[in-house]
Amino acid sequence: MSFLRAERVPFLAAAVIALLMFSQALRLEDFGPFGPGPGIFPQIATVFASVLAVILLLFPALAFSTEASAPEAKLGAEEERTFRLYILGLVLMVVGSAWLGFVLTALLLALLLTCFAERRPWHQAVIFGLVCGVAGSVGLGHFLEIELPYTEVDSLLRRLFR
Amino acid sequence: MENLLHGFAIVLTPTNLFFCLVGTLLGTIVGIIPGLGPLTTIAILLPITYKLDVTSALIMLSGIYYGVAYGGTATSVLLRIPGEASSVVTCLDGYMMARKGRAGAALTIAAVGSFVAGTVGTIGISYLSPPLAELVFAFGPAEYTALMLAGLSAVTYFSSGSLLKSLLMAAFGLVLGCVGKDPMTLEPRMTFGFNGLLDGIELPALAIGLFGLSEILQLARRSPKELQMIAPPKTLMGFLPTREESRRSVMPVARGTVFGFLVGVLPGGGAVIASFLSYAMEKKFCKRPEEYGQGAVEGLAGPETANNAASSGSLLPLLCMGLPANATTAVLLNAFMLHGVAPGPTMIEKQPEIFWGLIASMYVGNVMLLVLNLPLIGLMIRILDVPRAYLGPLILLFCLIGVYSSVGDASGVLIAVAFGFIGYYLRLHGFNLGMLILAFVLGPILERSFRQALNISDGAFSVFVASPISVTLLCVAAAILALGLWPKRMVVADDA
Repeated sequence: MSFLRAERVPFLAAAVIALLMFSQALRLEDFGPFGPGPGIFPQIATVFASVLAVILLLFPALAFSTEASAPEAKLGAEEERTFRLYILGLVLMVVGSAWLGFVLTALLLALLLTCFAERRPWHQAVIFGLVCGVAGSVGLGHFLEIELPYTEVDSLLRRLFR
Repeated sequence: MENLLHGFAIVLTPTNLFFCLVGTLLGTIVGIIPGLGPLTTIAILLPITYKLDVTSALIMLSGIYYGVAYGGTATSVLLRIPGEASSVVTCLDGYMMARKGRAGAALTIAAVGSFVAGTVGTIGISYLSPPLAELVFAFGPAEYTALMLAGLSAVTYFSSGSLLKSLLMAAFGLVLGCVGKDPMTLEPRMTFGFNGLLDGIELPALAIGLFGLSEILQLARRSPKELQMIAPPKTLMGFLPTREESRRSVMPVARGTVFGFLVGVLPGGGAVIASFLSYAMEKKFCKRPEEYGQGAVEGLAGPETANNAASSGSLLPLLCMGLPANATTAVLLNAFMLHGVAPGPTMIEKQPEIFWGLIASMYVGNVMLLVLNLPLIGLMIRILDVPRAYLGPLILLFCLIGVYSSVGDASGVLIAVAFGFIGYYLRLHGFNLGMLILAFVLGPILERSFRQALNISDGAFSVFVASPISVTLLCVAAAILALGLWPKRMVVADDA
């Protein structure tokens, strides 16, 4: 059996990240003329993380607990499809908050998840998305002045309520 | 007493009463909905509270924290679905009572027990806070560092799964807490040259990503099931327990209150541990252990009381020492700090209106929860009828609002989504995400004390073993970790 078994992968990733962070922490001064510098604590924390990750990488059996962990269930085709669309939903959140504004993001998110992922009729999804978008942009963004993703569509909508 | 009365004067204003009601109501709803825990909710609502008066904001956020246990009870009793982790035990006997036609009695016993626990816990906080705060004044930076290390060790010991994995999560929490400008020299640290990280990782982005978004991904993997709910009584009379049920619940409520509070005060001792230990204790005390799992009143009353008492108890170290006992109180600590309030001994002295207002709000909040939960529970539990097709996008939009409004641009959403995927992967591999959040919040406080102590000693590490208090605390930390590495340690699940 190879060294890189599935149970070692998370610890390998943890070790790589911890060592990368350690390399960054090493660039900082640990002690300066005025006492402990900005690097002392990050260096200790990253060494601690690296050592733990390497120990678990070498001896993954130490990571097993007395609790029986449920094996990951195989997804059916429908669940797999739904799951992928939810992943796409998270990506849409990032894209939407950067470029689309709140109303459009809410509308597209509702279409993606309510209509395509959960197979509800498209008109229900559109109404739901619009209600969420308007309530959020106008109620929270305009009246409560909470900072939300903002584009011309949101601006147009808020003008209607001024 | 005078201070407490002043606190009541603050909380009994219409505005604060309104926010107390909103907090407890939201807490109950969050307790009902699986997947949206108190931690995520507080993180989402945190930026929305920036515009509120600090006392009102903290009253509302604390209301969410202690209101959650009430909502979780209803779903456990009527649906056998724990709304949150501390109600898992309630599914055993509470649901069986409901199946025997005693749903109303089960809900009343749980609500009254929770009310007694919450109120006694609040009395405990009111009377223990000032002397404990005096004691903390004796702590210097070295002792405070040792105290936090002991606290972190205790939380790691009691957390779910392997101790080394929990320690690894704690270590990563400390590392992530260092990202951004150094608070003393303003030098950028571990940003990899990425300007978006100069201000550090915002807690809402981390918490919402690790808990909210990863939970949504987990929910998406499951096929939605039809819920089969046992209907709660339609009249108030239907909620009354029999004389025998009342008699049998008195002692478990009393024991659960005292025991739960003490467990809650300990670092790492949260509502989940308290409920499990209380169930085990009641089973030992009970003359009819064969009834356990079949609808024993004691098996419901004890744990339900203990989890509420522990929720109150865990606020004591937070308010007096600024030391969170679990991940949710860590997020609460962050909320306090963002509102310019530093929990700890100085808070009682310098901001008594906030401290005592908060304590008084907990008395009032517990009364509200009792009144809200019995007659309205049938209505509130209907929230679970909202299909995932609508609940999923709604929760995602709330997460988006929470992150974007706290960070102020899309980089926060990017970070939250990245942590959402990381959190999902870590959950699949059984890592304790609560430890990461707790260490992330404690990290900067720990670092400050650590560096202050080294400054005082001119860089000599011997400062940490110079006083009996810090030596004792460091020995406690070492002993806890050694005990944890012992093969047969007791493990209790507590993720948040």
